[in-house]
Amino acid sequence: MVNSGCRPKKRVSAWHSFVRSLHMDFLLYALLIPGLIYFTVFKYAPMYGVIIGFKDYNIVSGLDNANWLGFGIFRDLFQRAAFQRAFMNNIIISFLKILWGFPMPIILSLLINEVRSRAYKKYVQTTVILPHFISWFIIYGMLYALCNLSTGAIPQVLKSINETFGVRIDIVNYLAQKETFLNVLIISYLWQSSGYGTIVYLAAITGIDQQLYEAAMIDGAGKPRQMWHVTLPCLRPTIIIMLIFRVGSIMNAGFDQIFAMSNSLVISVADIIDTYVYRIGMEEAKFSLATAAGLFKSVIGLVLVLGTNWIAKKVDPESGIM
Amino acid sequence: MKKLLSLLLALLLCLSAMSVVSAEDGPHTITFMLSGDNTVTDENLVLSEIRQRTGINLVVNYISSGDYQTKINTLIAANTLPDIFSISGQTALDLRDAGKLTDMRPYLEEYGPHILASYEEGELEELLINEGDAVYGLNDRSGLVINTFLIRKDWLEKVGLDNPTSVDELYEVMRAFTFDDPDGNGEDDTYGYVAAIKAPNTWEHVFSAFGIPFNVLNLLEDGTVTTYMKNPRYLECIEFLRTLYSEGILDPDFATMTQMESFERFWNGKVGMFNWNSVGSMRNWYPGRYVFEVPEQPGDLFARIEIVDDETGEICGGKKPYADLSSYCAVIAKSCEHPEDAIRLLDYLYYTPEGGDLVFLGVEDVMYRWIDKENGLYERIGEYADDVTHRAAGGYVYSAGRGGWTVDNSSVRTYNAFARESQQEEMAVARDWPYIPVILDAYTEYGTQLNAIEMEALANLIVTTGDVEAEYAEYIARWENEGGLQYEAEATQWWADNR
Repeated sequence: MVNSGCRPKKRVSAWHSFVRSLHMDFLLYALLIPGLIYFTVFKYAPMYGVIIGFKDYNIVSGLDNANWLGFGIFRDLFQRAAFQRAFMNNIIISFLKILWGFPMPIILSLLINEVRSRAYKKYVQTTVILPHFISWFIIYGMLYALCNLSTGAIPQVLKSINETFGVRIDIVNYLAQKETFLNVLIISYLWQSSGYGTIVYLAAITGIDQQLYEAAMIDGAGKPRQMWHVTLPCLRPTIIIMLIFRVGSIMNAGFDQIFAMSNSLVISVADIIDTYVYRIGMEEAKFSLATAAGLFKSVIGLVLVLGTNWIAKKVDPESGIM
Repeated sequence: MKKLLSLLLALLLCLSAMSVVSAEDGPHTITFMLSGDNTVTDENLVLSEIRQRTGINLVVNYISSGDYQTKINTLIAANTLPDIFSISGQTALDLRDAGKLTDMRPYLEEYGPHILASYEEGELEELLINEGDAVYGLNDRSGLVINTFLIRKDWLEKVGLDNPTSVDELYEVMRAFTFDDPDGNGEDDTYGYVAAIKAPNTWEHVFSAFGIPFNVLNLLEDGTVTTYMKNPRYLECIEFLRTLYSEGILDPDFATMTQMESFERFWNGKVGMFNWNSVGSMRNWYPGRYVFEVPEQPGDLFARIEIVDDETGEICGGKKPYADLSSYCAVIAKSCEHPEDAIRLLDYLYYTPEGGDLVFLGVEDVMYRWIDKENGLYERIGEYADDVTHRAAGGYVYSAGRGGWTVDNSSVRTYNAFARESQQEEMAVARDWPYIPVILDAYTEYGTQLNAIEMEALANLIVTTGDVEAEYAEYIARWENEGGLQYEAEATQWWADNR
C-alpha cells in the first residue's frame, strides 16, 4: 500500500476555507463591503417590490392592503395591444442596436489603435467619447435643429440644392417619418455610444503582448493581418463578455433616447416597454401593470444572459462570466 | 481626546435641539406644491411679500406641468405629501377615502371667510370630492377661459381678403397667408396654419368648423357619447387638414413642435392666424412677446374669426368650458400640522382681490402700478415690464388658476377691452359638448391610452399616403379594443341617466 504510512488528509470544509481566506485577505474582502452594501440596498432589497406585479396595488392604500391577484395582471398586460406593440418594437430596436452598435466600438478601437501620433490619438479618443456625456434631450434638440422643416439645417441645404441644380430631392422631417425614424434612432445611438464603448477594448488592446506583434511582423504580416490574427483573437474574451452583457440588456432599448425623440407620428415604431411602463406607471399610477411589465422584461433579460453565457462556455470554456 | 470629542458631540446635539425649538417658535411653515412652466427664483419678491402679509412661512415646490402628476404620484406612494397640493381623478377620491385629506369645514368660517363667500349655497357640495357637509377640496373656477381663433388684420389687408366666414374662405386665406408674402419681407417664410399635437387647443376651431368639439366627448345623433374620432364629420375635417398639409399650408412640423414653439410662430410673425385663448394672445403676450411692431390696442391688430357651419348655419365657436367638478382641486393633506394656516393662506391668495393681485401682478408699486384700478388698467414698472424678470420675481407664477380660483379673479379683472369682448363674444357662440362631471371607471383605467390613440390617429391620418378610410377604421378598432367601448358605454349610460 503506497500510502499506508501517511495520515489521511484532513478534509477542510468550505466554511473553514472561507474563514481562513477571510483571515488571510481581510483587506481585500473589506474592499468588497461597499459594493455588497450597494447591491443589497439598491438592487436586492427593492426586489421585494416585484410583489406589486402580483397584487392589486394602489398608491394610496399601500401594498399591505392590496389584494393578491397572482398572474391576473400579467394576463391583462399581455392582452393589451399597446403592450404587444411595445414588446415588438423593443425587440426590433434592441436587435438593430446590437447589430450596428456592438461591432462599432470594436472597429473604432482597432482604428484608434493604429493612429501613430500619441497626441492625435488622445484627441480622437476624447472626441469620440465626449458624446456619451451629452443628455438625450440635448441630442434631440440638436437633431430637431437639423431636421425640422421650417428652420432645420438639412431641409435648408436640400432646398438650396433643389433650387440651384433644378433637381427634386424629397425634403422630409426625418424625426417625424416612420420610415426614417429608426435610422435616425440608430445613427444617433451610434454617435452617442460607440466612442464610450471603445474604452474597454482599447484597455484590452493595451494588454496584448507586444511580442505577438513582433513575431507576426517577422512572419511578414502587415497591419491588416496583425489586426486579424493578433489583435482580434486576443480581444475575443473581452468581446464575448461584452456580448453577454449586451444581450442581457437586450430589453433595454434606450428609454431616455426614445422618450426624448418619439412623437405621435412615429410612436407606432418607437414605443418600447420602458416608455409604456413609464406611461402607465408614472402618469396613470397603475403601478401593478408597470411592475408586471418591468418584471417580464427582467426575466427575459436574465434568461438571455444565462443562455448567452452557456453558449459562450460551449464555444470557449475559458470565456463567459460564470 | 475621547472626552473632548464626546463633549463636542453633545454640544452639537444640544445646539441642533435648540435650533429645532427656536424654529417651532417662529412662523408656521406651510409647504405648497404648484405646477407651471415659468422660471422663478426660489426666493423672490412675491414670496417674501406673501410671508410678510400672512405671517406664514410659505415654501413653494414649483414643478413643471408635465412632471406634476408623476411627482405627486411618487409623493403619495412615499407618504410624504406637501401641506397643500392639487390632485385629480380617482386618486383624489382614494386619498379622501383613506383619510389622508383634511376636512376643511371646521376651519372655513374662521380662517376661510372669503372662500365660503365665493361659493353659492350648495355649490361646494356639488364637488365630487366633497362628501356631505365635509369639504375636502376646492375647485378651480378661474379656468373658464374660452379659446378664440385670431387673425391678423394687417395680413388680411396685405393679401386683399376679408376675415373668413366659411371653410372655403378659411382655406383661401390660409393659402394666401402661405404663398402671398403677407409679411412683405419677400421671403417664403410664413404658414397659413400652425397647429401642434402637443398643443391641442390649436386644432379646436378647425374641428369646430366641421361641427366637432375637439378632444372631448361627442354626442352622436343616436345618443351615443363617445370619442370625437367617431363624429360622422371627422374624416371630412381630416381631408381638409390633409389638403393643408399636402399643399404646404399647415406647418409640417406639427407633430414634433412643442406648445411653446407653436406660440413662437405666432408672436414671431410666421403665422397670421392662431387658435388659443384670447387672454394669452391679446393680454399676457401683448405687446412684450411680439417681435414685430404692434399697435397699442390689440384690437387694432387682431380680429376674431367666426366660421359659419355650411351644414347647420351655426357659428363655430370654441369648445364650451365647464367649471371642473371632478378633476383638479386644491386639497390639504391630513399630515399638515397647521391646517388653519393652510386655509388662511388659500383664502388670502386666491379668494381676496389683494392676494390675487399679489400673486398675479406682483408687488404693487414695485412690480406694477395701477392706472385705473376700477377698470383693471395697470402697467408693469421698471425691469418688471419684462415678462421673464416679472415671472422670475414671482409675478404670475403662483397664480394657480390665473389670478385665483374665483370666477372674478385678478386675471379677469385686468382683461383689456378686446380680450374681454372676445371672451364674451366667443362664449356666446361656444360649441357645447357632453360634459360628464364624474369619474368614469373606464376613463380611470384606459383614459390616457385612449387619448394617446386619438392623437396618434390625428397625426398619422393627416400625413398618410395610404388608404385614409382603412387606416381610420384601424384606429377606431384600436380605440374600441383598448377600453374605448367600455368608456363609451359608461359615458352614454351616464349621459342618458343624468343629462
